[in-house]
Amino acid sequence: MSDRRPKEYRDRPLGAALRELEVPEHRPSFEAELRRRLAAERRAARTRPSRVQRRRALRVAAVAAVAAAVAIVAVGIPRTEHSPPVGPEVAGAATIKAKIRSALASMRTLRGELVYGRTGGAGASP
Amino acid sequence: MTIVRHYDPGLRSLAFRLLRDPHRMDDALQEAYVKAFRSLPRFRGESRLGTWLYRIAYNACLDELGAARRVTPLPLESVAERPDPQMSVHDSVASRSDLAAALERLPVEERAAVLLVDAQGFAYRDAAEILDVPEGTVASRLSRARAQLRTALEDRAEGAGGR
Repeated sequence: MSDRRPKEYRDRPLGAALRELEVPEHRPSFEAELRRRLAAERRAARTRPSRVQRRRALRVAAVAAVAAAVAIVAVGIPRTEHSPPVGPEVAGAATIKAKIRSALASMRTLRGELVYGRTGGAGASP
Repeated sequence: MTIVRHYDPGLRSLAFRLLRDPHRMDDALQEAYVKAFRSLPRFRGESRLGTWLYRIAYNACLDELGAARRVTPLPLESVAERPDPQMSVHDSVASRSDLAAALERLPVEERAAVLLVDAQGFAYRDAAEILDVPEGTVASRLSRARAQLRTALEDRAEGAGGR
């Protein structure tokens, strides 16, 4: 691999001539002005939250966001009364009674499936 | 303030030659010192304090000038590194004002390179860090700046000799 760094050269006579060029002094109020500005910066730095404080606040916010995401996934989207039913509809007792009554009245064959659950009790799908 | 006092003469020279106005020089250096004070806690010593401070001051000067920072670097192959040895700057300098005028005609990036390396003695690597360009770009800027300064001064010397 070739060395791509340029070879250093300093034009010393030109440098000496450039250094001889006059440079103005600062305006008389320069140092007082600078001291005033630096003092204001010091005051502002005291009231400004430090880097450590800013980092801590960011960490707390990140943990809170993760906790919220986990809670949403664990609990799931809350179901309401208006949520549409999922799967085959289970008929209530009143519906079954009404179907039986109408079947007996017309003497037609009554066909249905009786489902019995230990905790949920009996139900039927007409 | 000790740091300011130590580096101020060199920074004043650079800022004045870049901005060509003592009031703007003062304004740029005020900004530079305040910025340096503000970012001093973040200074990790990866570069030298002087280089770091010069970089802040150079950027403050560019802000003051409103100069575009994008430049097109020349390929290294096109850089003629050494000047004509027949020509001596001191011989050709008819007066300091001629050199100052020739310097003012240079683009600000080339002016900064020649001031940092030739006048203030920065290594190419440090100058590259201050100017935020590769070392090859510093070399090409130096080459162009030196050539133009010498041409300008040669013309002046010939004009004076022909009278």
